[in-house]
Amino acid sequence: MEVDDILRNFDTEVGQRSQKPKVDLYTSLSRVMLNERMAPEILPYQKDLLDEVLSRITNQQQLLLDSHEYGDVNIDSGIITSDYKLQLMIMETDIERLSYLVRLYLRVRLSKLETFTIHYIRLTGERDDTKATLLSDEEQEYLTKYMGLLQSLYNNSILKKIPRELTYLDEVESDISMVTTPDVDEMVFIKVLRDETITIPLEDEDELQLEKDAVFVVKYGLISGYLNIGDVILI
Amino acid sequence: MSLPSNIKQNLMPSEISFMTENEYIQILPRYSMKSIQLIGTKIPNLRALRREKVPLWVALILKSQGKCNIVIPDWLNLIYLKARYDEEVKFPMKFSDLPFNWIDLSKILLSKAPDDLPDPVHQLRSIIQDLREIRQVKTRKGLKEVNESNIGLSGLSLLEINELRPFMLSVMNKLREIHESVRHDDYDDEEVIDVDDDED
Repeated sequence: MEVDDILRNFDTEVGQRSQKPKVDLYTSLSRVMLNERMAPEILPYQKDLLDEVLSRITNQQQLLLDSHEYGDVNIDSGIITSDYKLQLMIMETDIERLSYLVRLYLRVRLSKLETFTIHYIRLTGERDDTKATLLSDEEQEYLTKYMGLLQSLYNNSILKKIPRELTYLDEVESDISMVTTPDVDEMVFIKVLRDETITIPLEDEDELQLEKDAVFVVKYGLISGYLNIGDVILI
Repeated sequence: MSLPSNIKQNLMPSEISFMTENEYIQILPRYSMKSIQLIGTKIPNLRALRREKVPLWVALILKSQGKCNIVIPDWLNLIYLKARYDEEVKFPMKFSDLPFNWIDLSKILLSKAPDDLPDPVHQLRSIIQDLREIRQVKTRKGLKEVNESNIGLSGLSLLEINELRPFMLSVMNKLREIHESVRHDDYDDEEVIDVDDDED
């Protein structure tokens, strides 16, 4: 089989799978990563996108391995040009760049789970539909295990030595809860993507007009609805 | 722990240029090359001297191998940038129209593809620096507009926004807290005296 055949096979394979309206994976993944990075709370897990990116990365890695093998076998025959190596290098860079984005996305989410552990334990325990979309299965497992570790650390180091009524981790004392929750009123930087102007009511009967491509700093809570449907992005 | 605190809610300049590298740019290939199917995109068949659009990072790899020339975007030349600079001087309240990633894109192109530029590199550098400085002065003047509710930053590039971010976020969040405590105390008079100090 020629190199071109390998590449051509792969072309048709991928071509068949991505017949649907083509979204630029890079753009959507960067946006998802940035949104997550800048939002004070955890956003619903982008399962479809992540599944697609991960499976494509796996396929491409396999193809790359095969191509390398092909290159090694035929190294003496003179059909391996420097172009061939360059192409493999570009493919490799592509894989690395995408995995970097995926890693960054997941790390941001984990760091939020670590900061607001009890809050998210509660949130995902409450309703089944939030549980289904907010976290991936792996993240859910991570959250539970992390909480277990925290609890046993606290217990072993201090909690078992102090009176029982002081050992609760989620006490509410004079309206102030011990559980740290994300501050949804935090300021975020947004960019508007929707074509029509979005009008957001502010307190004191003011209004905020968000035109396309405008950049604003606003409270996260005001725009989180638009963020979920993709009308604005965080930057 | 899973994320270093210096990149929480902020971007590093290197990340901004990473994102710029994903943008598409026109190249003028010097040699032919077969198309490559990448994960997110496809590099078309390259034929010598026929313009194609590829992601910037691919263009930079090809450029470093001497396989293509990069077609410099039409705003990256002395005449255009000079005109923007004059505009900045003329309208002190407005930012002139430059791409969202003009600083990082020009930096990449100036360092990686100096031979493709239409004008001498040092002159471009100096006009870019002038533009950057006059815009910085404007944003700093604009900082007195910062309030607790919202602020528009249209016209600034991502890198310029990022420079402002740590300051703006902390100030606006503090102002917000003060504002909220004032509102809270309107209903409940007990702590009004406390708040008066914060207010001015």
